[in-house]
Order: sequence, then C-alpha cells, then structure tokens
Amino acid sequence: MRRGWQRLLGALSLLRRDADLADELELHVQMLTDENIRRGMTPEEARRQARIRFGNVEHMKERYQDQRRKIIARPSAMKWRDYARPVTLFAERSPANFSGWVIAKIFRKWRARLVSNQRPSA
Amino acid sequence: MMVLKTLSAMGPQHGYGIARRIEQTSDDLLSINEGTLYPVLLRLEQDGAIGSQWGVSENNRRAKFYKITRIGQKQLEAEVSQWTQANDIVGRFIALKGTKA
Repeated sequence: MRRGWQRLLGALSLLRRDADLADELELHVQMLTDENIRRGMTPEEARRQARIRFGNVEHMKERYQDQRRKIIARPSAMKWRDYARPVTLFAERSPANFSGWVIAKIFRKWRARLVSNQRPSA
Repeated sequence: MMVLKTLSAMGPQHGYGIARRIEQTSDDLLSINEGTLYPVLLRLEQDGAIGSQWGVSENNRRAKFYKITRIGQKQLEAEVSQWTQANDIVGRFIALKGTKA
C-alpha cells in the first residue's frame, strides 16, 4: 500500500517536473519569437525562426533527463532537502509520534542507502 | 562561470534572460546553445550554486527565475580566480619576445 502511494507520488512529481520544463522551454521560444517580431518578421516566420534557433526541443528534453539521471545517481546537498521534506511533513502532522531521535535515525538509514547505491562518476 | 557571473551581476533571471545577457556581454561573439543551457542550469541548481523560484515574466507568462546562492558566489570567486591566473600566464607568453643570437 505504501509502495503504491510512493509510486503514485513519484509519478505525479515526474509529471509536474516535465510540465515545469515544458513551461520553461515554451517561454524561451516565445521570447525568441517576440524578439524576431521586433526585428520585423511576421508572427509565423518569427515563431518558425525561433524554433530553429532554439533547436530540437525533444533532444533538449532528453539531455535534461540524462542530466537529472546523473544527478539522482550521486548524493548532493540538494538531495538531502528533497528527502527531508516528506519526513518533515509527516512530523508536522503527527508530532506526538516523532522525536528528534527517530528523525535522525531515518536520515542515517537513508544516507547509508544512498552511499551504498552511489555509482562511480563518469 | 558565465551563468554564475551573469546572475551575480544582474540578479534573478530566467533562462532566456541569462542566454541573452551572455550574448550581449560578448557583443554577440558568443552564441548560447539553448540545448545545453537548461541541463547546465539543472546541474548548477542541484549542486546548490543557484536557486530557483517561479514567477511572472515581462510578457506575463509563468517563468522560472534563477538566482545565485552563497555556495554559487564562492564557486564563482574560485573560478574567476582560476581564469584570472590562467589569463595572466597566457599573457606572459604572448608578451614574450624572442632573443636573436
């Protein structure tokens, strides 16, 4: 049951990140388009040139995903914050069930797991 | 280094703003490959050198603004120092004059 929730939350998080990336890229293309329009192009030509200049969006998304996979494979300062958030949220909802000792124990376990899963960097 | 320096000088910027500013600073001698910019921003964010926050752009669209962190400032200072040193060494060689026998 817990794994199911975790998978669902993970999938939703992935969808949100993909949507966020799509928004970022679309804004960039739109601003390139606006720049081309200011240079005197028609809106259609401006959009076309902007897409050419921006490059292959799908290829760029793949590179972005590759970079994210490399980051997931190694621990970093930001990752501790990502793991801390669900623990903190649970502690806030049921403070009587958690103590500082329990939270510290969970972090130590996660850290040991991350270190054991660490892949050698390229 | 160019991304960090741009954010340090300009304050929070979205990806398009960072790319344009780098090109303007180089008098358009540098052309930013947008395909590599966003993976670089992701890596810098995951390393803690920059942070991000969603906001609204100049054309009223949802935009992700990046800003340099204290970690990023330290990283920038180290990289600027390295570049300055490398530039100084190369400059010495350029200034080297041959001695004729």
